[in-house]
Amino acid sequence: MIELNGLTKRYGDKLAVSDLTVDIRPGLVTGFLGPNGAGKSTTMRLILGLDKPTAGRATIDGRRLVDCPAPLTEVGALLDAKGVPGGRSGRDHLLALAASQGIGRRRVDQVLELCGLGDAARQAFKTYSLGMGQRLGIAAALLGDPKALILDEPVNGLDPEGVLWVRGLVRHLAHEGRTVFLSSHLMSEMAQTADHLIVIGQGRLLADKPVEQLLSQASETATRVSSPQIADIIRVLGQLPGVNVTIESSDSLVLHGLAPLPIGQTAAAYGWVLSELTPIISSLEDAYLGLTEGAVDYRSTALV
Amino acid sequence: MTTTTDALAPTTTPAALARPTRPAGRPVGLTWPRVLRSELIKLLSLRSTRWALAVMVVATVGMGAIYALAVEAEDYAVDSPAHPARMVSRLAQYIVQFVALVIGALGAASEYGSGAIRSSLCAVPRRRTLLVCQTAASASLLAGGAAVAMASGQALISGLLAVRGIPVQVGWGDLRLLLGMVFYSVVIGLVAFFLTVATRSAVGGVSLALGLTFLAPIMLALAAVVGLDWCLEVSAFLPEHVAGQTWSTSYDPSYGGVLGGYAMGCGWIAIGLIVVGGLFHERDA
Repeated sequence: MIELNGLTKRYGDKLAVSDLTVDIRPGLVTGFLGPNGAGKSTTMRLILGLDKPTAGRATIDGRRLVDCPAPLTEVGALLDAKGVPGGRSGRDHLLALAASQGIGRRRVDQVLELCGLGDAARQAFKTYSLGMGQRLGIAAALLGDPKALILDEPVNGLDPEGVLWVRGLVRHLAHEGRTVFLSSHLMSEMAQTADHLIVIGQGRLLADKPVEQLLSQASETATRVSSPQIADIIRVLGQLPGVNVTIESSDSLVLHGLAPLPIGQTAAAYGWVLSELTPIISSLEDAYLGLTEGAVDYRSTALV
Repeated sequence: MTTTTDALAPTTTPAALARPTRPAGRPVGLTWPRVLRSELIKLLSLRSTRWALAVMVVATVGMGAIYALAVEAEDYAVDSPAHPARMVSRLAQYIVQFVALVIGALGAASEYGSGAIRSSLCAVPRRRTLLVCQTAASASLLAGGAAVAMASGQALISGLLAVRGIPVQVGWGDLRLLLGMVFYSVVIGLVAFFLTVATRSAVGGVSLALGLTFLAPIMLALAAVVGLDWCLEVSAFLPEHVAGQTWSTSYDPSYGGVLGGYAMGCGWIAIGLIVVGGLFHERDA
């Protein structure tokens, strides 16, 4: 388990991470979301001891990483897919990391094969694509068969097959009981991969919830209805208190404030023909945008 | 790069995630020898380091060979400091200094320029351990490269002179010159290494090291000319002066002679380790 307790990091006047207290539990894939500059990468660096916290503490199974006798077996990390000298081969990079803790060459070749880099292992890193760099970073993270994994944007630059592979891999690792903590800007990917989400904005914790709970809390009750008797539906249901109607076409509308069940019961009582009755559920993107609305540092200007 | 997506197809199977292989009976974990070995693998796996070492050896041997073939065949006294067989360290001085400086800077620059320092610190979060092992690995490589370059150069120059009929007698005094040059290469390379770690920039590290090695003695000498005599005293402690004491055929006994030169060199390494070690320990990676 990764525990953050009052974790705070300040760079000059800028508060990058503010009093962050969360537990990242084993057996789950925990997604880490936030706008650009929210403090995600800083938080990951603080956990790994790369940056010194201004206040608070980050521990892995109760210990700081610096106190672990075999750090690569405690936590594997992918922070930067381009963080290897260009003239060094991928295999040599892993051999050097492995040698620091007495991990054998066989394990190096094993993780290279696992990550699909067996054939490219002896090539200079400067010939690697971004996706190959990500695979090498994941191979490095898996080198010590760690109890916890910290992956910053692991699918960035991967082809669809690679994205699918990373999704399967992290789910498998979490299923084995490991702690998996990953960040991504791809909401659809996070929705399919993560069990639990931590959302931060401007360094502050905005949400720490299971994905389903975050989605259900963000969703308003609304139902799409298609029927030839649209005018009757508006006349009967559209007049109810707290219900708003959005007409989409001549035979389709959205009833805000009503769930499918009372609509279906009313349709049955009036004898309406319904060709569609669909509850509208917010996407993770909607939930995320709702949460981070007031906590964005860098806002784009719309062109249209 | 023509590797296809198919060739990169990963194999995600639970079996592939089996426990790491490790030497029988030895638990996985950080030890000083392991971290040192890791740092040596890093340095030797850099093409630029291998090229720099090759340049050091080839240039030293090449210059020695040209000199041995070009020098006039006079009747030299075999024990004279001016004997051509004793010229290898003087000939190689600048090339060995410069290449040592580059190798020292490369070791640190490869970590900071690419961001690999973050991977290194994730594997070895104990920063002082990491820095000491990086220093030791750089020193080993510099010493090895300079020793091969100087020994090869000395062997070749002695052989060619003997073939040309110029009497050669290599003794302990010559060994002192070679060891001094090797030591000086280590000192100057590590100064560049420390300055690169401190600035996190190869350009910054090499520039400062060049300034300290080549420019500072000249500036201090000029300052002494205009009346700032204390500058000469300061100049005596520059890394450049280490060379004069450890590998020169004539050295200044007022600064402890040869041993004084070694002590000064060790002092530079110790100060570098303490100052840069403190900086490295406290700052964000």
